[in-house]
Amino acid sequence: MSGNKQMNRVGVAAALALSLALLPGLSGCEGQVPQARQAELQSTATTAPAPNLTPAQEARIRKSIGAVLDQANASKDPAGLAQRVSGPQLEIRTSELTIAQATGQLDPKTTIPATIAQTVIPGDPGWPRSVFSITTTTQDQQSKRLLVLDQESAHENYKLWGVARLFQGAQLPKFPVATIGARMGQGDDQGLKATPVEAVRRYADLLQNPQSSKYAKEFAQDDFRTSLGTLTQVVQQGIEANKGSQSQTFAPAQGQLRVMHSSDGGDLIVARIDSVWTRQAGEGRESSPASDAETALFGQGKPTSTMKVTYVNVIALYVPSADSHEPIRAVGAEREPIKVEAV
Amino acid sequence: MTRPDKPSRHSTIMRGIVTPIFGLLAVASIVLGILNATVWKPSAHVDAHARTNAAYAVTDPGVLPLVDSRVTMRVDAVPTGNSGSADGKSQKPTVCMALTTAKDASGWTAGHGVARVRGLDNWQTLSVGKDTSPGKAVKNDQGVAFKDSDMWKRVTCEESGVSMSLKTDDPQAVLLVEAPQGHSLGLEMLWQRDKLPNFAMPFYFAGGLLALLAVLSATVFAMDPAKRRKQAEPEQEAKESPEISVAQALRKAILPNLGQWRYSASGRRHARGQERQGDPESPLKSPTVIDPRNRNLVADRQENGGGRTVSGDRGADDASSTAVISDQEMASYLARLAHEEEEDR
Repeated sequence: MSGNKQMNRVGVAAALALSLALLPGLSGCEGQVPQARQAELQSTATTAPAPNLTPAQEARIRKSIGAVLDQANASKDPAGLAQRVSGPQLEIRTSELTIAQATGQLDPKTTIPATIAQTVIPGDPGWPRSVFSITTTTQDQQSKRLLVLDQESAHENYKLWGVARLFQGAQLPKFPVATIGARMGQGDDQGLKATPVEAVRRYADLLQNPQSSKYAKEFAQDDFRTSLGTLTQVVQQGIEANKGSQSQTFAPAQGQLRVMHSSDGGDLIVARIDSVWTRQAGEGRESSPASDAETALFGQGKPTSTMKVTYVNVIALYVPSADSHEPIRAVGAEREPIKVEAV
Repeated sequence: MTRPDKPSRHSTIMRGIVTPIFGLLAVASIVLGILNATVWKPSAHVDAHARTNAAYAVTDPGVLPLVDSRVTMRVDAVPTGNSGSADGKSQKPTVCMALTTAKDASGWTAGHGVARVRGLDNWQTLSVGKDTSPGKAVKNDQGVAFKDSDMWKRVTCEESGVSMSLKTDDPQAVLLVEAPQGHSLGLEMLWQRDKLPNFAMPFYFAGGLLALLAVLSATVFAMDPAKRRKQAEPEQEAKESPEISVAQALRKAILPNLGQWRYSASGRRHARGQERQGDPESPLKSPTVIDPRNRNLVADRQENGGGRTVSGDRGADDASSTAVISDQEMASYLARLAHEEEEDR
């Protein structure tokens, strides 16, 4: 019996010792420190780049731009525009405000709706970056506007680079939704009917030579060319009565284009085309401005027989992929005289 | 001889040593489980710190939701030793923090030294490494101010220190902090954990298992193996180890019928089967297998014809099982064979 008791004591002691030995190893802890999964993040980053802006950020940027425009509109002073407007739109808006100063009111075409129907936000890293936003129609049922917001560098804010009024019934290509992220294009993108730079050059040639351009078949007919042709024809009738002459030159501005890849393989291009319209009156007559805008810009200038008007044109072109049967088509445009001079 | 009232050595070890060990371990596990669920319960708040004197501090992608989706980052600006100007003392520095993406943070900090918060070294310390963002540096007076940039999803600027609380699962989201000139940054990240790791449950489970083992050790496992087998598998025991005690041997010798009855009463099916057949002592005969292909039927027939030299039943069995031709057919066959041999000659 005493032997049994002794064995029991030994057993209890062994059990206690074992328990105590195991105690530190079994004590509680916070668990393993988590690690950031870099490899996974990199793989997702390469496959689907996140958009550079959220839709909320895009709305905030448009609101800031709208505030600057409203302030300039109210004062009819373009001085503060540069902080939120750049590129061709800065020259166009400056001219519009100058004209408004002379006429007392802004042209209704300058209205930019605050609401948008769609925004195309790319996920490309680096700068410059662009965002394409398509507004709703205006309250007076003007057509939608295609806004190009541009950020030149990381330390600059987005600015309104270009505005093109979309043609009635214009069909824009499809783009990824804003939460996925689109891809920006370059001027030398391949696999299209023409590279973006070349497409703009050919369109400028078509504007300059509406009857004789060899690129006429590559482009679908559009409202901009139609209205421009009508205006030119009306002016031509007046000039012919005076035995005068007129000429227009169109030239793409170097590097002044923004490109966005569409989901169907084409590119939507917004480009600046500068044009100069020279009108010469015959029979010793004076050449006068052809519109209220030109009159406002000419101001108190002394007319001569020749009038030279410089225009800034912003053209939105859709260039389909090379294997598409569709022609290149203009989907929107803006045209504004920025300088009127008698030479 | 074993005394029935004295426990065996096996039983003593099981009940005296193994059972207490299991019991103590069970109690210890349950106690540890309770401790892990109370005193040692993982904290719902993870608070990690670091300090840097870089111009910018930025969290790496994936660091914000590292512990949980709810995170707060606090940053304090402390003047460094060489920035003790009068202007610095009179004017509180402004610290700005922005929620953005890694590529935008990299673009903003291009060319500048950056403290990268890579994660956690341990639960109290942030892992911070110094790096220089690729690209050309932009002077501070060029471009927009930090707080006015469009690139930030959220931005906060405050004097001396700044704090931002987020709920994000986006692994691409990062926080970028701009340090005022001549100041170092004290970084603190706090996570609020919604789901805490349950370290108590494994201990409870182990405790339950050990308690069960303790009970089994004190009962089933403590029994004498022979007895346990006898109770559990009496048939197998009878077949494999027919241990008979002296008393049983005597009883069988004196009262064989009683012993036979006791055996049969114990449920031995074979014994009962033999009793039913009425010949309990006869051994079981295995069936005789005969392969006719390996037999010389002619020789067999001749042997059988000359008298039964093969003893008993075997010969009878063989003759009956291989009698595929009659005696008459065999005789005619032999006659035909002899006739053919004569013709050949």
